[in-house]
Amino acid sequence: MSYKAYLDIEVSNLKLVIKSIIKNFEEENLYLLHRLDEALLEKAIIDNDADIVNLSVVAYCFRKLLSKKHIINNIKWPEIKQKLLDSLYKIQKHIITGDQKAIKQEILNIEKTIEHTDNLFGYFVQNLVTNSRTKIASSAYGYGLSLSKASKLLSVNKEQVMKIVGQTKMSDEDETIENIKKRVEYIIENKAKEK
Amino acid sequence: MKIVFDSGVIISFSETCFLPLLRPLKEDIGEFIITKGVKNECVDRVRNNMRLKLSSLRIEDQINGYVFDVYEGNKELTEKTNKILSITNSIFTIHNRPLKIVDFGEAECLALLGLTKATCIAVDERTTRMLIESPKSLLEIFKKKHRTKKIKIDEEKYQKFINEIGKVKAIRSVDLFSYAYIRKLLNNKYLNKEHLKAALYSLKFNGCSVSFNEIEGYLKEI
Repeated sequence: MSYKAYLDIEVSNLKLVIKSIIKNFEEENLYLLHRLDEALLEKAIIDNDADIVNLSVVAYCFRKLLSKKHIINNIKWPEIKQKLLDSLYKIQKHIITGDQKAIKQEILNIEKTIEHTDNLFGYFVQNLVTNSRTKIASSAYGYGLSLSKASKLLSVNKEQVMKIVGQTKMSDEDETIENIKKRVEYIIENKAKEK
Repeated sequence: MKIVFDSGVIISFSETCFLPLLRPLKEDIGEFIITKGVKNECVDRVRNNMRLKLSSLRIEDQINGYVFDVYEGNKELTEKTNKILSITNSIFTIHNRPLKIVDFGEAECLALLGLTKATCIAVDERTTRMLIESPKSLLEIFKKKHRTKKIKIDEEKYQKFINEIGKVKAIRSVDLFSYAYIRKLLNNKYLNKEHLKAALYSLKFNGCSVSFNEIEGYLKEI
């Protein structure tokens, strides 16, 4: 079944997805990398697929790396960028041979390279990959997955996702089914009944 | 009154330093029950994560102090959990494919409701709560986020879900805190609206699914 997200990004075909990531990473197209990570997340939710989610994390991390001037202006950046691209080219070859294990390993290698880059040049204690996973998990929660489901799909801690969710307007956009007063009254009434 | 706690509410209380309030709440309300999975999630699994270790130690104190009764897993719970998981993850379909929205942990808490004859689940996240209270609201969220109307709800499966869990209510950390305020279970110096407001906002910012309007509306009513 072909699946297209809005803005016409084809995400059901892995070959096209990797080609798209390579192209947009090479061209430093942050906008299309963003559309890609969103489309991949949506597909991962529908398919309940952690492998697709990992690709969403990769696209997201690439966008974040490219947006950090202190990283892309560093003299080591061309070498790091090439290393990431080499991993993506390897994934393309593994797709042809159908070697799923090798594809997963290369995605892991990409994450390790990103983590290493972030450790070398980044300012924060928590690395880019973990931050990205946590943020994407909060987006997955926004799609209606339960907190545990979203956290598990992205392999992150629930507590950290809760903190990010708490900073968003998600709860303010939801319909109030029953307000605090009604729920408090429920406790009072039922506590009395059950005694 | 028996309340089954999901990990989210416990985490919210821990992150806002309101854990000590759980003991007077329990003594006032009744039984607070958790699954071994919730204990594992809040304590054991994060014990060696330095960002979360303090929280895990605080929560462990509450469990060791018998604030929570830990339900030891058994075959009946596992079977019921798997049944509820299977049902909930096929209530909604997108392009005729089931949407898997709930994880084992939440399903286990829901399963425990029936087994312990608890009538209330304490849960801060919205999906489980909306599933119990208003699946149509959850459907609207799916339709909006996936930008498609081809998401359906299987009413028969939903009714099976309700039959499994029984007639239950969901409460959140903000509701429990507000209850503590009304019942004067808080330290005297916190029995004022400013503290209540600050506490409710703090719980919201730590992930409790409550809106600003709801908090402000409640503060005007009391």
